[in-house]
Amino acid sequence: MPAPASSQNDAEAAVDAELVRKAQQGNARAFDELVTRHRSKIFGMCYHIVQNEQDAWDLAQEAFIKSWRALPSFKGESAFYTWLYRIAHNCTYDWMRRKRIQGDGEFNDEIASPIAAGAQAVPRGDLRPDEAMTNAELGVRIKLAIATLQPDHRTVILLREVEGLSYEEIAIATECQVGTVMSRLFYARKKLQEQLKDTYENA
Amino acid sequence: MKTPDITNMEIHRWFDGEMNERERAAFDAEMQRDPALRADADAMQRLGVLLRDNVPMERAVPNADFFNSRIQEAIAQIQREESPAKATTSSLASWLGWLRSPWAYAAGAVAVLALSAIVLTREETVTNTQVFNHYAPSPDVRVNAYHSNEANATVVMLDGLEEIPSAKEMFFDESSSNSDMKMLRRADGKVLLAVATEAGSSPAFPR
Repeated sequence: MPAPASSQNDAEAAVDAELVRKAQQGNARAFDELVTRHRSKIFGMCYHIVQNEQDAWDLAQEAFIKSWRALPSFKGESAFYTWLYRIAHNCTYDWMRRKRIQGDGEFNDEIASPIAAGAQAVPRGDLRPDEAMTNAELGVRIKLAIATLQPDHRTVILLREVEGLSYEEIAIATECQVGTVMSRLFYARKKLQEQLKDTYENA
Repeated sequence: MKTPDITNMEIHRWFDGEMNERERAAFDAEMQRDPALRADADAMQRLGVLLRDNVPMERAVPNADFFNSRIQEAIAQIQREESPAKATTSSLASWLGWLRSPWAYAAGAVAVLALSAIVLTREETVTNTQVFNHYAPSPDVRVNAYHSNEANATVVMLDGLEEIPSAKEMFFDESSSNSDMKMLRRADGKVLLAVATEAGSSPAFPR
């Protein structure tokens, strides 16, 4: 069982806090450093939701610019990344509403999205070619399974399983109740278990 | 929305480390009694490992430098919009007027102060810089530009210069073919700083 996780260790949070303090005083260089520190995660999350690199790039940009505007209101009650992620989440979902691609209701998990060309599917480590091929196929299969989840469910399962955020952090980041987080996790895991059961049972 | 079964929800809380000590102890005891519950928990654990091993949360941002510079440009634009009175000087004529003002020399003085490690209090300043982009050829030099309300001028700080030239030993080169780009040079012609005064300009400066 994984330990209760936090998105950042204390040292990183302290660095963020100092950069935020400077940025709140109008120091654009400090904010630039915050962008550099968090852009890969924010871009990655946007990409996981919209499944499109160009749109994710634009949305991540929008999120950082909005966060600059909102910095005076950031009181440090949550980690900077959690706060930033909530802004990115809102940008992404506003965009999805505009694009009318978001499904309705908790059970509509049938939004299948194609895997982007060049999507990284090869796992870490030096493997024999046959192992690498098998694992590449596995990676693609997992990505396809995740892509079939409703965006809300996809977001929550990735924040929990991959990013390691707590329920409360996820609730803050996605602006919903902890109960909703639990519900979405339940359905996301159930759906993934159905699709990937043979994979992890044979592993 | 259908409510998930409460026992199943408990597995998730246990697995995600969201139970308190008393709840966890009770759940662990329950798992000892119920092999099916144990199997469900194991399956959840295997799924978690599978996801963590195969799904990178982070993703390299294409054209990362451009990504950052676009954000900086947007911030500069925001700062200009927030202080419209200061934003009226983006024209070349105003820019040149700024360069010729005594405050241009103050920029050099700030560089001296910064290099002397005197901490400048920034709280009183509004970052309404008229400099959209800047570049110092020396990798050791850090540039910071902001608008000072008190001085009613754009202040450029150069931190990390090997030596601090006097105001007479440096000059702004206005001979560039790109009217939106200006070079701050030493008397020997060496470029200390290049700045762009229009958002569309991007640095392509000689070293």
